[in-house]
Amino acid sequence: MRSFDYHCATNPAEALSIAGAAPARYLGGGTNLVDLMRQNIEAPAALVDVSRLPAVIEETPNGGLLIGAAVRNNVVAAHPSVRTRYPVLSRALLAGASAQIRNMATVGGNILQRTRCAYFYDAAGSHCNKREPGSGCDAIGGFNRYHAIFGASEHCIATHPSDMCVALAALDAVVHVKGPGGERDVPLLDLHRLPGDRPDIETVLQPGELITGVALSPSAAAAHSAYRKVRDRSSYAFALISVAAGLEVVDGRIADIRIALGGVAAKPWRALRAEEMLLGTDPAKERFLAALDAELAAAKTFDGNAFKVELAKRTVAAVLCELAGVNP
Amino acid sequence: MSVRITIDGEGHATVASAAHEMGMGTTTVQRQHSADRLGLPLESVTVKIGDTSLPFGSFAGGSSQTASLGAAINAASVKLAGELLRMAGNDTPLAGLRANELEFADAGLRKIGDASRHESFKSILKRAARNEISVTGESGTPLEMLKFSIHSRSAIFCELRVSDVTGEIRIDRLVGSFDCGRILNPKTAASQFRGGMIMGLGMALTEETLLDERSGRIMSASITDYHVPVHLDVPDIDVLWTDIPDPRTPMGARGIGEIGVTGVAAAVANAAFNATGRRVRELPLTPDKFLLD
Amino acid sequence: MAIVINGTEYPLPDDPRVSLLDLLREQLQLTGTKLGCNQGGCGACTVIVDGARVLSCLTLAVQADGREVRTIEGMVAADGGLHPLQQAFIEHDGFQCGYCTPGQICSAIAMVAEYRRGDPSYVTADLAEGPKGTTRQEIRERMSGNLCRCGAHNGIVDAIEELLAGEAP
Repeated sequence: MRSFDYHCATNPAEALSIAGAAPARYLGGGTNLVDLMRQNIEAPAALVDVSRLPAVIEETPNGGLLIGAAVRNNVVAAHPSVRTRYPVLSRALLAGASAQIRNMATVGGNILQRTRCAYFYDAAGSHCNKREPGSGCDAIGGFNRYHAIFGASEHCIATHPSDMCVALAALDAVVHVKGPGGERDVPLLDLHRLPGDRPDIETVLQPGELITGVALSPSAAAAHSAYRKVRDRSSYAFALISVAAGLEVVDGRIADIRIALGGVAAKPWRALRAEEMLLGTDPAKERFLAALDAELAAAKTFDGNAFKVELAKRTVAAVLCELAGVNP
Repeated sequence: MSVRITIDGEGHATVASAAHEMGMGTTTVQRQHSADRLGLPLESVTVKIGDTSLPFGSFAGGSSQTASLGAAINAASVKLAGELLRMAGNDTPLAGLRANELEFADAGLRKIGDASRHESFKSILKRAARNEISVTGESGTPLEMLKFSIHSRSAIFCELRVSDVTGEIRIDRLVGSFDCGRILNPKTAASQFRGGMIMGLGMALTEETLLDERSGRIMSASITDYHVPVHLDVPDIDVLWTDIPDPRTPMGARGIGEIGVTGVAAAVANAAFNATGRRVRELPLTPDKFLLD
Repeated sequence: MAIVINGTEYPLPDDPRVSLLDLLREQLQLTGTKLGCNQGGCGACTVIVDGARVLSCLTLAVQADGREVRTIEGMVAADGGLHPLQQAFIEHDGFQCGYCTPGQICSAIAMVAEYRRGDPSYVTADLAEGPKGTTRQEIRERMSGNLCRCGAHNGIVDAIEELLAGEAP
């Protein structure tokens, strides 16, 4: 690991001022960044430890929740309000990594974690445009079982590995950001970028900007929501695909529906097309499948991950059937 | 494989060989074996292994260590009996006996089946004014490999579920039955069988070395990318065995280190076939191979 | 800048690159905690920091400033003998090579506290209610961050089940 200066910030203003003085990375639980630094994939000159910033989960005036960026993943998952009002978020967090890692990882760090593409990690022998812009993408034509079917480019087909973000995408979460230029709110769905020709630029955050929290709005669909993760190993493995969904049915018609997919793109993928087709209809498996066919028509697959289309379709349909209480 | 047995003036035996202990129970089992063979209580035997300064030991592998180490201990104990007899001289209850008329019992030697003609190690050494006696014995290629073909057998039974939505396989029960000669220590043997079967589960479901032929790079070279089973993958595993001694090996025992692994993938693939009608012949049996029509 | 390990205070290293694991093993000779993959994939380096189980390989030692760390060396029974879980591991043959054992034991001891607090896991049926009773599936899911290559899983779960069935501390 290369040398770096370490600073521990006690409040966001202090974090911003330290980060402004030197090219720095913010450090949360370290579960991803420390690993990447040890592999010499990241080599920041300075780390600003933001894991000790106030870590609270508070009720908001609109009846939602504001989750501090420094709150540990397991604390969010076990929080009574999250478990009852946003079960999809609790389940998604519990599906991620291991208990030890969830005890370390912060909400902000989870959002900003980097891909687990094996070619990205293989600094010693593989080409990766995300790690070294312009060097090529060995995942194309290589092992790409875990890779993207949506939004990929000829430069990068990596996926975003977070489970939590898939749930946040379904919940229309809003990310609170503080930066040198002031504060702003970014919808989670707009925070991550698709790779295009710059896969090394992964979010819309500007240098020095710090995630301070995530805001959730209340909704019936959020309270009636579920998460399903499909993986080779039954636990402690990244998703082949995952599904976060919420559903509100009023008088036999779908009044609100949220579908987000994980493991399919460089960002959590909201199935807006399918949602649009299903809104206002009465829930039935055939209709779910038809809507997913339409959504997945835009998928572009590779040798190793063509199965994801069928897998995603079936898994989403099964989750929706369960939420709707209709025959699977 | 060589073993040195040393008995000190207090009658305590040290059994030493540059063999290996990776957790499979070598020390425990050979201590039990030595105590049994030398007529000593367990606490009077120390087993020393894992150091190249000790008598030559072969590698722990090929399911061979237990049997070959046991054979070397056997050979050393035969030499020990002969040397102790010589050392005992004429002023001993053993006087006039030949080595092949002796057995180890009650921390010493006696005429086979005759407790009245017994002398302890301690007494023999004391009279000879010796602090210790030390002999080295060796085992060669076992007879079963030269003249006979004797093999261990196993049958593995598996009960599993396959998701008709995702194709994920989850194992509910696993039973292994083994014919591996005499089982020397039921506790360590059961653990070794189970351990092997869990490696077999990994082979069946998740473990795969990915070689990128364009670069020669192994793309599953880390434990995060190469998936060994986690706790949630592992059901309760029953093991049973025939415990029929092998007449061609010194303890009637054969190695059990590997046989646990071998049948599991086939049992899992067969169970998955029975559940789904889909015959998959390529491991690991990942969900994408069981997305059913 | 100081860290408390098993009740004793130690200064933190000057170089922020030192992981908590390396501080324990290389500088303090507390070698009970094991270095496995050094990248968060195996759980062998699990220790308990302020009551929570974490991976010491991915924790920078400076991040543990002012915190209380418990390692396997700190797991002792009231009479100074083996911790009840260590004894249970021996009785149920919960290890072969023993390399993952300190991590399994630290993980399990913290896990029991999570369980008794009512924290849910991915296999908990009712999120709002939390886990009901103790099931082997719950133990397995919660312990899945600790790999074991020898395959001692059954014995490990048996030992933890015994600990969970005992009196709450």
